[in-house]
Amino acid sequence: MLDIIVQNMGLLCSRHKRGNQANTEEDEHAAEIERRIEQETKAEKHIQKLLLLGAGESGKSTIFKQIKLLFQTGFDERELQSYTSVIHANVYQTIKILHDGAKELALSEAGSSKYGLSDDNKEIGEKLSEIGGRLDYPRLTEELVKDILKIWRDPAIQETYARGNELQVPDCADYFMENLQRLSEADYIPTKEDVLHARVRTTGVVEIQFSPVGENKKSGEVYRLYDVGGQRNERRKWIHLFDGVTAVIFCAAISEYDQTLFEDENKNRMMETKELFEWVLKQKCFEKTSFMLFLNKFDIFEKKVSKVPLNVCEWFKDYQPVSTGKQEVEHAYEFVKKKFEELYYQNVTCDHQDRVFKIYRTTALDQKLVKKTFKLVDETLRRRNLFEAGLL
Amino acid sequence: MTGCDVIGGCPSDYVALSVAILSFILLVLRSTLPFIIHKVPRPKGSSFWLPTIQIMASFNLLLSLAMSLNVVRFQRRHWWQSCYIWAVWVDGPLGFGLLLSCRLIQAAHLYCVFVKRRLFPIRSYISLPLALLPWVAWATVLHIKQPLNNRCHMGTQWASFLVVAFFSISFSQPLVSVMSLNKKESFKLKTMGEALGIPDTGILSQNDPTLDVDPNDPCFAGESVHFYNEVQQLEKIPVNDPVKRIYMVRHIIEKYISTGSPMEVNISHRTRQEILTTPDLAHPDLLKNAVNELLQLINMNLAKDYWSSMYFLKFKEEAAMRSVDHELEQVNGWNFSPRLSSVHCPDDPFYHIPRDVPNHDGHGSYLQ
Repeated sequence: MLDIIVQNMGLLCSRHKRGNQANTEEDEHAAEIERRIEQETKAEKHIQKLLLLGAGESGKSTIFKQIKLLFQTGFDERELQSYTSVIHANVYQTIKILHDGAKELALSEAGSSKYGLSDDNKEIGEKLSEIGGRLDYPRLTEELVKDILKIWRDPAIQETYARGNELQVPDCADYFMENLQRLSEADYIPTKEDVLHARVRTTGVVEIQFSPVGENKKSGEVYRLYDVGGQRNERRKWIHLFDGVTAVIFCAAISEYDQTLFEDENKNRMMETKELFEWVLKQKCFEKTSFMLFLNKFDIFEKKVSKVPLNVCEWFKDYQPVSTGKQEVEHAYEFVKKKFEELYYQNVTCDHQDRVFKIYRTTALDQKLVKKTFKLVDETLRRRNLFEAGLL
Repeated sequence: MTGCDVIGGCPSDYVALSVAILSFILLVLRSTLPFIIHKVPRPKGSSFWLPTIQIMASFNLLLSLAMSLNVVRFQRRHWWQSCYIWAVWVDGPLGFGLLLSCRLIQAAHLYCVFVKRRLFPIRSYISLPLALLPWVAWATVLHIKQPLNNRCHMGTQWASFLVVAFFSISFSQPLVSVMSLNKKESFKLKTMGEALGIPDTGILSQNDPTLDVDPNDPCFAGESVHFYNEVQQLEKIPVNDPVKRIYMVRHIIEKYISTGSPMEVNISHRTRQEILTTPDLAHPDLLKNAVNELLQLINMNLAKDYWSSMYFLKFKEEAAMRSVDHELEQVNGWNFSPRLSSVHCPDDPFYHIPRDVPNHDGHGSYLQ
């Protein structure tokens, strides 16, 4: 049954663009589809619709992958293998960004030689940067790995990496560089970890259906989760999904307070997230929709807070650090959380009184944490359903 | 004894005014009808606002002439009937000055695009007020010096000469598209490529229903496909025909590249800026980075979801059912699955992407 539903989602989407090749066979086929759609709309009612929203690189797709791993079939070998090319591409792109970035920095800061690559590395750098600009990348080989590591360990590149927030270096850079040897093995098959780290800019909409209870599908709620692209141009596509949404899972990468947008390097990512969250909250379709705010990438936030003061971001400029170490991290996190809370309540009118709002601290890469968080989300939503039905 | 030439209300005045009003109505109809009747999408940005402002300015000019030259006979009793409001402010900065400034800006844009081959560096909402400044200054001086006689006269005749000179040259839009507004059939032209007469064999053929796909349809990364198709058409224009290339590039930039454009594609800030600030719009590699980024994006998205997607399973099933001709299968596959694969042809729409980059190291590549 589920299969038919999911399969027909494809039909739903393609139904109206069949063109006008009118022949009887087509018509019959169309009628059959109509009939099935009607059947399924009845079945659809039980399915709860969840949307993953948020700006670009906020971790929506990572959550999506986790759900697939946790509550669905996970990734089979072929799927894992299909990630090899993505992961290798991530490596080449990282090197290209860093190499080109170092060149730019060397130019703009003519006084310091910090960003100048050593002479032997210059040639290698150019070669790798050329590969990074290609459409199809060669498979990572031992030789290439040697070159990549040489460049990666060049002090100029490390200096550039330290200023990664000004470039668009993906978060996975460190992880993949550490594991480079393994990635280049001839029989390399990406691990679950590798797949979770792999960075793919999502375009369009992807969906998945799951039940967080696990094996016994009948006893739990059935959710359909939609993942979307987060860049500005992608947000136009969101509006098609806004109808009948049970809950919005809004991802905000709290570690990105000192970074700029991929699509507009004049805009701070946190400011964009703030405006986006406000926009989503104001949507008329979401009057009765619950909001689950995931303050994501806590792992990176934790490391960053002690190095980069929170108040570099305009929204947090009234932040005063109190102590050091773990306490400081907690303090900073609580501050950010409070800011989001305030933002939520500023945008709530009396129409929205019966919607649920919860904030979760997440690291999308941490499977246990995501599992726990989803159990909580599931519980909250079920409780709400019972409440609506008048049972609580 | 004062004649009607002094106090206004001559029959010839009324005739002139009627002709002017008629022309104005025709102008408005001519510029709005294509959008109302043929549902041509409204252009965005300065290509919409500059003509609209010109229509408003024409109206102001007409009104101010009627008011200041006393076409309709009336006594100047109220302050708002003052010569300095009508003959100076409305006639100058809000009328003729505005009209002329818009024209000059359009001319500057065209000069920049076709002669310098780059986009005009200043946005219209900044350049227009700047161009208006001299007019405002001129009006202020007149207002302070009060040189007009009680008939508001101070040689509008030289202005009339300029009007004729500037408006007899229509230089704002590609000639083809200007002409196409006259012929109803031209509205069947769906693409800029067709308008420019490029023989079309892009991945989406003209009769292909996918051309009507809404780029905002959530199932599709439609904008990328449309973009790729138009870039392919651009590549068919020979490099030695820079004018055609520039028309096409300008069209592509307005539709896909500029921030907030109707089919904006998902490219990085750097790549976008590179294109927008290019020193040569006709350069053959202008859009190369953008195309690479988008193909990369599509490939990665596909690699990620393809094998596991229901779309693929459904596609396979559907393809088996339809054992008809190969071409059709491919086209319908397109309608069907937004996330077709990065894998092998024939179900891969991108299988004929030119692999112009040689594979130096002889190792396998994922796309082959």
